[in-house]
Amino acid sequence: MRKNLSLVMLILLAISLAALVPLSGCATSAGSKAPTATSVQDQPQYVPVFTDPAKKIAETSGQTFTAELYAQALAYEPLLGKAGSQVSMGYWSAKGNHGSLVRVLDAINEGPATTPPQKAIWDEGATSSNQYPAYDTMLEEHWYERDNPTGGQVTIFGKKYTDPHPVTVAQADQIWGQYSQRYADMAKKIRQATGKPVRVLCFVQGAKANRIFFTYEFPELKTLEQSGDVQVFFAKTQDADPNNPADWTQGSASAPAPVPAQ
Amino acid sequence: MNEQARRAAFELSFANRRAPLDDSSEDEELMRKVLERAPTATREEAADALTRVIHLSADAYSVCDAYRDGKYGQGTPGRKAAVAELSLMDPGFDLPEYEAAFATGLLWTAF
Repeated sequence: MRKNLSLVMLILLAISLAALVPLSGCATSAGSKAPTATSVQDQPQYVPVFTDPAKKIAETSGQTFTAELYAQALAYEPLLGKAGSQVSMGYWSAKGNHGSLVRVLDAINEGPATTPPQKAIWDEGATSSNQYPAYDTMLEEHWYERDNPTGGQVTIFGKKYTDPHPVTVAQADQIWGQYSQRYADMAKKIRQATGKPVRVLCFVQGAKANRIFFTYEFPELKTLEQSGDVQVFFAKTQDADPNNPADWTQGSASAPAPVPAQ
Repeated sequence: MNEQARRAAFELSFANRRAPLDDSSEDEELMRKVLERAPTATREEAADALTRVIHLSADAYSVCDAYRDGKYGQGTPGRKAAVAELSLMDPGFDLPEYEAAFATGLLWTAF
């Protein structure tokens, strides 16, 4: 995966600045630093963000969050908003499919320049390695580590913290699900800007019915498909080539059947 | 086992939480990163650490998948049972690491 030099410089600058700024243990998500540098727990300034789950659920439930994600994507890749660009949005669910999607994202973004330009994004970022700040914040909020407090304390990277807002797994799932739903909604803005329906590429063979793809993302994609904002494709195998139509089925009706939850 | 290499490999898989490692992960890139973070480790020790963490990563995914399907029960008892099973499947890590692996597995399997 290609690292963008300017991004690395920005991260280094942010880490340097963060070392000069004392952080509270109960910070909000605003102004937080991304834990993307190496040896996260060794960064003396690193403090998890204990956002109130109710606040995050409210924040991720509306189109304001979609606009925020879209702006962050454009900051990384202005071509996502250029008239004529062909944008692909990736989705994955179930074991083994994440790597397939990374491969396809890299093939599109790092392939030869084309006219019109082709760009591919996913829920994590504008490329396989440039993460949206909103995604970094989600990681910093440690939603799944906060489900099991002992004496009011949670353990994150081996250190104990007092969490003022305990979280359940169900809340964590809802927060990540809504985040993903808002990511899907970016297709409408991209289509408005580019004038072209977004090509949605899904690696979801073996996906379970009770996980985020089938409970949050797929219903949203069907709506976006009906409005003409996206064209949805499903990889037939994990080796599917984004440039070979024979490797894909088209249309939400051709989605693989979800695996029933046990 | 080289402790520095083991810790470095663990961080690469779980601290940054991008995705579960698997046997097809970019082995050379990972090896380079482990050796960067664990300069005292030999190449063999780094490879051993990576192998252990790749197995832990795969097992964390499987255990969390089963946990989500109710195999271990609900709430704190279920979570403790799942973490305990993970520790039996992949000995050599400490409890905070098993708990971190489990929490990360919950994120991976959410999707």
